Amino acid sequence: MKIILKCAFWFLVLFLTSCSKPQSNRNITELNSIIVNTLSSSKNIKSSSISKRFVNDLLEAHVKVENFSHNRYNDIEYCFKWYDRFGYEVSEDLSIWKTLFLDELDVRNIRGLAPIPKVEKFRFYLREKKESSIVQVNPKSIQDTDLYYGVEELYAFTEGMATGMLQSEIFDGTKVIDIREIENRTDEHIDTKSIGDSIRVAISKSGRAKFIDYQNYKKYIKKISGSTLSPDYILNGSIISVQKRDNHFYRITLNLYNLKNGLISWTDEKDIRKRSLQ
Amino acid sequence: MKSLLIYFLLGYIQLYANGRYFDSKTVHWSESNFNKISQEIVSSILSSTTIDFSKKNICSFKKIKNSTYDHIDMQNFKNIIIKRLQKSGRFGFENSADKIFYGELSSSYQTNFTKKDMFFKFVLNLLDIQSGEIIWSDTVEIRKIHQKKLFGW
Repeated sequence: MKIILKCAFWFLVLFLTSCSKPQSNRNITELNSIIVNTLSSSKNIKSSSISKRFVNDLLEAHVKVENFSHNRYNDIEYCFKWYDRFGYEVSEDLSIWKTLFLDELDVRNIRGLAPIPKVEKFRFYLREKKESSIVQVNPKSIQDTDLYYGVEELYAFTEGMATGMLQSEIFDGTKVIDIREIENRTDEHIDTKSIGDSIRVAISKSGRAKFIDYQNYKKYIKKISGSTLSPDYILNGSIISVQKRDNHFYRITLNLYNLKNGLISWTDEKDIRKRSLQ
Repeated sequence: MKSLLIYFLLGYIQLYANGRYFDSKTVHWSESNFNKISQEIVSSILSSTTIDFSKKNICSFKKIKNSTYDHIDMQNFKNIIIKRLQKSGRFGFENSADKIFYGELSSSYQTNFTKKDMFFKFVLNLLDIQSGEIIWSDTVEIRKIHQKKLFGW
């Protein structure tokens, strides 16, 4: 009789604790890696399909997160935690929570790279962010805060120019390019070096050209050795603006000079006009 | 009453001392941005296909230029990235090496009647001093928005 009572008591305790736990779904896959999703079901966000592979001997985890609703979210955070072969968490200080930006009916493949080599398992956590007066937004989202040159123009210029360049047959992966000054001919402060940096990153990620940075290279080198690469092309350009009371116009022009024959091998321009409705 | 106050104060201090970073109350540079940017840039370095990982890369870490309007401890930022790279076991650091990291942090700030819009962009390059080639280069961006309230604060 006593044993039955005891069993019933523990069963009740277990039942109550399982009820009081927050709603979560844990998908345990054959990879022994776990997704912990503590988002409320009203959000209608599902995470599925874990996969992993090794990149440069480091574990790379991929988790697919799908948004089945017609809302946009920037109040969701995610985090990867990494475990070694024996199931111990490694380098807790290197796992941080990051904001996840989801558009309507968006499907995102979130990638995490283990910070150290001996990692074999991971856990992926999704949670809601606490209310705060500051929100982190997708840097590429259109905010259009004012009429002056801003982040939207930086992205429009760099992406327009980089895609234009990659369509040209000059970029075959062997040419050496040096990005020089993009002249700011407007009357406002524009970080034109940042445009050059972004173009360099976009093209070097595609692997279609080699880059040297002569301005900085000079600063760091003491003796010029014979094996130094010399540029085949030089990229420079300018930004102009025309500003009226209710609209601003910006134009970027870029030129690619062939140093062998002095000709301009490629040139392109992109315009942006912003109008205020007030 | 007094003990209660001290208790809360100690709890508050402890939260900070544990190194748990809170999302800041400002659009300006904050501690959590250090972590996010360094984590993303290091995972980009370690998954790069252009860097040769067959042997340990000996690099030196040069200046990260601060082109923002904020006062930022760039030495600390540099140390966080170096720590993460060293933990991965793929990089060693010394003062004069053939490969150098250098970078720049820049910002853009826009504001109107209803919001403050802050944008940070960090670019890091790995340069081979022998050939002058940029072996690897990537950017990380953060954008923070503060919606102003018309009434109250």
